[in-house]
Amino acid sequence: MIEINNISKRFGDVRALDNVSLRINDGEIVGLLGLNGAGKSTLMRLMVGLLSPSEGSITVDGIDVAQQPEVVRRALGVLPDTAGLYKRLTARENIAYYARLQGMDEAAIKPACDNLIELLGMQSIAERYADGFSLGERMKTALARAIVHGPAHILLDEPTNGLDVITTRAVRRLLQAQKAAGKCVLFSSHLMYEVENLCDRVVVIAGGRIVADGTVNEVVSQTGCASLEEAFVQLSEIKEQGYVAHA
Amino acid sequence: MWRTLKAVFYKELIDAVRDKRALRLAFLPPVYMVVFFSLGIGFAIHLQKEGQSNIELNVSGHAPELIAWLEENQITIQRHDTDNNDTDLYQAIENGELEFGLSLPVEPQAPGDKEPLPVTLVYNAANQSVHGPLGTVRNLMYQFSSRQAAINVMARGLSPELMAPVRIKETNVASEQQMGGLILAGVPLLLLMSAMMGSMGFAADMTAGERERRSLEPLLINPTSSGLIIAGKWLAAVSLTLTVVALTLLLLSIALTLLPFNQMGFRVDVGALAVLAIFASLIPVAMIAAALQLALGILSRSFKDAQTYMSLLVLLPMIPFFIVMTSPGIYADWQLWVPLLGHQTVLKSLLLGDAAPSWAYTAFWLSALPVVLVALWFAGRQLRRPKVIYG
Repeated sequence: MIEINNISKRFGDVRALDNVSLRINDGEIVGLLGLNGAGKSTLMRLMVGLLSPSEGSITVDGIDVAQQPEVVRRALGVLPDTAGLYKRLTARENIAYYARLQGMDEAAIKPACDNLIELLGMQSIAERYADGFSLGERMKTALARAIVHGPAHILLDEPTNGLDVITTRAVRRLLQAQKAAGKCVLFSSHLMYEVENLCDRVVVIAGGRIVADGTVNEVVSQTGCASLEEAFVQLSEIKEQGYVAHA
Repeated sequence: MWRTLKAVFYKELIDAVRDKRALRLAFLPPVYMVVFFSLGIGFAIHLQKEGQSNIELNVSGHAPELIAWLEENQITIQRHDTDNNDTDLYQAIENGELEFGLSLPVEPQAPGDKEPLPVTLVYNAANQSVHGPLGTVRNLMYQFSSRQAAINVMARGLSPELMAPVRIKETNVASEQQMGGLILAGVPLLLLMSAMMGSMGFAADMTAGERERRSLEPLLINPTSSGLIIAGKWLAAVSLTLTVVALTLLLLSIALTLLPFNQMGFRVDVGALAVLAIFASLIPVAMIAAALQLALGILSRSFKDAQTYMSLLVLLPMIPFFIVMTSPGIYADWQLWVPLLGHQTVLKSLLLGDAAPSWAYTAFWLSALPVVLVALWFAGRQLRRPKVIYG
């Protein structure tokens, strides 16, 4: 379980997050929706402890991120929005390097890599240097290395960016399997149908605040719109204008 | 902990060995530094041989005995008389057409005339290249003068020893190897520079490169302390630097064996033990260099920025080089505790065939340690700054 309690983050005069509280239960897939600059990535960075909050706290399975960041990082599998690979390593070497940094047993690394390579359909690129990879191939490798250590919970920043249909389906199956194993899954996306298909809960973030939190149907009916996309646009626009007027 | 360190170390080594750009940057400079050094020394040897054997003296006027003496002593005489030239000797030298000359009386002295022979050495002292050959000619004329005097004195039944109340003898006590040291003064600088530069490209890729390809954030999301990551990178950088230093030493040993130093009248004999001692004293330098490079690299946004900052490090060995070169006598024990300055001194004496003080190596390690630790601590702290991760 991940709990975010009254988190605020300021960069100078800019309020990136303003008193955000959120709870992600085990066995739940939560979709994080927000326009560019709404605060999605900042929230994820706070959750892995790379940024420290101006106010509030985050706990993962009861462990405070600010106090024991390394314990929390071991429990999380994170795909950040900047997911650069080592270009002179093969896809497999990239994945295995992170497995070692996560402290996995040497004997367990190869089966774990093989498993993910098969799951994400990476057999053809596994032994190639990452230098010439397409966006989708880079994404698959980054995703695989993020979750190679079998983390307790998973945070993904736009994981289906640039993936083809078959791989997107594979990712979807992967996330569902994680959910079935009782893990928290938080993922951000700009694709409404992705969120509608996959998420148990949708959280809409705008101007650094959470403006909607519930199942897809709840969020849609809350705004009185016909679809999630319209509901999302309406929620974001109101917030943006309100924020500007407030400022 | 050790496994993580090993993982970072191996990954950085593999990454470096596959990096053609950084490999070129690391392994080409030793090759061309040694080649240029050999060419320079070879050229100096050639010049010295030429300068000794081949002095040309422009002469106007007549003094057959003196000229015969000079020719006997391998001086080539070139006539420069006003009757077949437009300018006389003085003007030619003033205009820079000739370097120096000897002006003798227009009419040769009558035999038996004991008047002093008026001769004038004409030269432009501002011309540096004149002094060597001029000294040789001047010496020959003093010799001629005292020989003539001795003959005259003997003709009158006196001992020629009366003419020389003081007899000056010169003895050069410098060993042949030490003479070689004068020529080899640049070698410590070359070695120190190769140790300072060795891992520049690799360190830039490990730090600024990590930022440039945006792989720093995912790296730091792993439960690995930034200290371990930096330490692993540092170990890899040090190993790579030492490979470069070993190559430089190897090439240099070959060059020193092949260069014809004996033609310059001295011996350069850098044995295998001296080479090993030099390598050992360069290890702390490599450690310092790699640590400083990582600290500078992490502050740079891109590979190119990093190279610009790091190239300043190459200038560091120049400071002790000029200190030692301009005042060779100021050696003191405390200098061994100053990184690079101490190395300059010890490398020089190792090349000259002397042994370094046995505690010098301890001094090198102990003085390198704080520098390395501070630089790595700084780099580790920078690594986790949001500005560095996301900037």
